[in-house]
Amino acid sequence: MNEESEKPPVVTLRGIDVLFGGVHAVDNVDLDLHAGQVLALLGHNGAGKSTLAGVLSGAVTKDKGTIEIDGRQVDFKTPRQARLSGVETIYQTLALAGNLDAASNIYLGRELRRFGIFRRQADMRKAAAEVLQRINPRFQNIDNLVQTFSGGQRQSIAIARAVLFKARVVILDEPTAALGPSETLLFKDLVKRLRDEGVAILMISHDIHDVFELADKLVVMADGRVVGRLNTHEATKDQVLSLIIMGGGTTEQAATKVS
Amino acid sequence: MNKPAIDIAEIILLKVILANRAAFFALVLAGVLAVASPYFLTLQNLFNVLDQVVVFTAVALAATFVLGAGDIDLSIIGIVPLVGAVVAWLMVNGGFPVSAAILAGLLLGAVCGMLNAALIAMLRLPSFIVTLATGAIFQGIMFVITNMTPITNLPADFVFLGQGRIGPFTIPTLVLVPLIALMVILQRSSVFAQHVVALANNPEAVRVAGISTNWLRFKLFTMMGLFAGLAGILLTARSASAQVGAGANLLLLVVAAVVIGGTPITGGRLMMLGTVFGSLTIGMINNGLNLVGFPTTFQTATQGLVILLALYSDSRTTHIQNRIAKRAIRRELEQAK
Repeated sequence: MNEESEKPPVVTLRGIDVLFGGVHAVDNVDLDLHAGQVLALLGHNGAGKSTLAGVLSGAVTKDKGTIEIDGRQVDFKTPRQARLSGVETIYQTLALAGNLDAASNIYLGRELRRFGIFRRQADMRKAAAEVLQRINPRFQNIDNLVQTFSGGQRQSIAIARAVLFKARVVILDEPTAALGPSETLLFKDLVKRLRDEGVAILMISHDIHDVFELADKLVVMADGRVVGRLNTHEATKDQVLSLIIMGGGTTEQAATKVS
Repeated sequence: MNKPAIDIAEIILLKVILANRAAFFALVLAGVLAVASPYFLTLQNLFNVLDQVVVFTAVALAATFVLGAGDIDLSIIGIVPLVGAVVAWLMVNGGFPVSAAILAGLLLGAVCGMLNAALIAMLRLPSFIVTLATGAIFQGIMFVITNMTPITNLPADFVFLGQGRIGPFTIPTLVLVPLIALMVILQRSSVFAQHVVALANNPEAVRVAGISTNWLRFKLFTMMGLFAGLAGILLTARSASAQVGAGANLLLLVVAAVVIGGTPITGGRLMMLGTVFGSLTIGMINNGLNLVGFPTTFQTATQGLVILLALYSDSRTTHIQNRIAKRAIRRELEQAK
């Protein structure tokens, strides 16, 4: 663990500012993501965590600050550019096409082609089957349409995408919000596999229990600013909850804010 | 619970029929017509049916992709007569050679499609609304060009393209066959077709996959315009004149062919060969009504009825197909345990 964190980070965000019509949605935030580590972003709705993740995924344009991946400065204008740099986002809705099969969804937008316009379906199916088998051995009938799959199988497809395209960084946006209890267990397992493959993971979550189980580091945001950085094994849930609720200020400050 | 193998055989048969329901329906209809009229199965009549469906089938091939994407292009009712009129005008009044006029016509069709795509992207309006308006605009331009009178005296070479024969086949039929092959291959194997059905199912998934939906629609509607342009040229050549009312009933025929073929009106699935059989079905219905002595005035109402029937049977059979798929998955899961 400690050796890991001494290696240079995969992702370095410095002084990130995002303004939405004069409101500081993200205010001068620094963040490091390390290979094989899960970092959880916590905070209220509107604290700026999704916006910050959006800057890294290419969905939100930053107004100030720098992003470095493996020490190289990058500037994402679209999610496609972020993906090409190895940043994969798994959305809460999973963003899958229900009327396509598993392999077609994994390769959607990055199909293996023949003559530039035709699909190399057999090659895609083979590679997809291998990856799916690796991350979810219980996964069967991958040729069926995704609309017939359970939530856990859909998660597996979304994660297989990240593994197959050798993502360096994976952003998980409220990953367990749409899952049942047994599927949440499967999902936690999937995240651990991703981590063990050396992927840097940025996780946005409301569920403090998930976060304590999966994350190595916790970053709490409030009003667009980082109000706390903790190592999970040193932190208590009460401590984190109070940071989320009071935004890092004292109880008196929180009280004046309310009045 | 312990169902014997007959159940599976039945399901496989049902699956094959459901997946090829348009072909199945066309075959049944052909059988009925063969019994109803001895004239139906003569070669001359069958070639006649083929020739009758060529123009709207050409449009329906491209419309399969457009409807498969969950979009629609209503402007074909304007593009088809506009291209016909412009091509005729270029040859008769502009002194253009036949080949140059045809190229210009195809280009004009494609440009009309590009305009549709650009407007859909810029105005952020559904294709239904945009093409309803542009269809009227294209038609209006055609009214101005023709001054509401047909353009006649077309060059003989051009008319030959619409009416000439090589062996028993009319030239439009021979033009259509390679187009069908091309479109079937595109539907089965292209990345484009995959993106088209994904767009109908989940535009968000397509966007976050890094696929530009605007560019996808640009390709879709350009192809649609190109095929509508071709139809306009074939129609003009067949009737040896550019008619002001050309293509008035085209939209009905095209939508009917696509929907009977099994491509849902909401998109998400492409049935290109189904469209071809859908076209043949419509051709046979019209032909059959003629053969048994129904007045041609009944044809349009019949086509409307057939669309309703096709839409209803599509929603029912899709329901049955889904149930079969779910049952198969449940069986696999039980076997896995």
